[in-house]
Order: sequence, then structure tokens, then C-alpha cells
Amino acid sequence: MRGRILRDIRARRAVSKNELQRTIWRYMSRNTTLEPQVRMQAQLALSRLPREACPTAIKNRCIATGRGRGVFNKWKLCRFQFRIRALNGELPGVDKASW
Amino acid sequence: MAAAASQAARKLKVAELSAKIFGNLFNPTGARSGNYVLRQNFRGEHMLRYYLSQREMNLMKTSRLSRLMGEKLYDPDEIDRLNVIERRKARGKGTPKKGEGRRALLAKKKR
Repeated sequence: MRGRILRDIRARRAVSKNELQRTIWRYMSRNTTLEPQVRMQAQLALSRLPREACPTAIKNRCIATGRGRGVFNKWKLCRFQFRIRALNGELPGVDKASW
Repeated sequence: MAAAASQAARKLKVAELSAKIFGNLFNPTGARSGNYVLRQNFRGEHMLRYYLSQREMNLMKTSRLSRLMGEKLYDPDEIDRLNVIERRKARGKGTPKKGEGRRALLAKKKR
């Protein structure tokens, strides 16, 4: 569980570190006014970056269990942990619906 | 035909001049400049802050919090833990004292 979180933290660090470089290369590859050869090289450089450095590789996981699916972004918790805590009254403003 | 062409050229010229006057970009062919990439915000710093640090995780535990505050708070997890230990001790499964563990006994036998 924790291992997945650590992996995600590593990916986040990689994204943060390579962000400026990625932005520059992305700009160069999308700019049609530049030389085609330059754009090609920028695209190649982008694909040569580690897979982790891509922001889409990042997943918001449950901070308690590390579960990757069914995570409420507002609470950063998966649905089980959310339910447990909500019923315990640990999440301010969350109530069990009843009508 | 020639009149229409000259009119189109005139329109283009007017557009160019107006862009120059009002400080707009003149790009009749719609060539992509990639400027939208530069307009995007940097998200890396924000992404780094998603998970809590070890220190913040510890603060979420009642036992650590009460140690910080210097007084005992109501901690159901700690009560559960103590209950389990008590039950194990009653069955004779508690932790051995110093020098009575498995490895300590083995070392005594060797001598």
C-alpha cells in the first residue's frame, strides 16, 4: 500500500523537477514557425524524458491506504476510509443522509 | 475577378494595420505559435504537496498529539491496543522479560 504512495511521490518529484524543461520542449515542438528539424528534435527530447516526468503519470491516491481508485479528491481518502471517518464524525460537515 | 482580389488584399492590409495600431497579433494564416503552452500554470509545486509529510501524519495520531500537548487525550486506538496486550498476557503469550527470550535461552545453552 505504502509502496504505491512512495512510487507516486517519486513521480511527483520527477514532474516538478523536469517541469521547466518539458515546457520549453513542448513549446518548441508545437511552434509551427520554427524549423521542422528543430521541432523534431524537441519532440524526440520530450520522449526521451523518464516516463515518470509526465504529469499524466501522477495519480491522486488515498493518503491512508494508498488505494488508487474510488478516491474523493476533496478528502484525499478512498471511499472506505471516507465512510469510516465520516461515521466516526472525524470529517467536519459530513453527515449521513436520512430523509 | 481582379476587383475582388484587390479588395481581399485591401482587407488584409486593413487588418494588418489595425493589428499594428491596437497591438494585436496579425496572423492571417492561423499558424500555430505554441503560446498556449507558455500560458499554462506550473503545477509541479502543487502536485508535490498532495501527500502529508511524516510529521503531519504523526500529528494525525492521537498518541503523538497527546505527547506534544503533555496531557493524555481520549484515544480509542490506544485503549484497544492495551486491551489486546492484557488478553495476551492472561493467556501467557505476553512479551518475555529481558534475558528470557528465545535467543537469550539459546545463548545460555551454548555455554
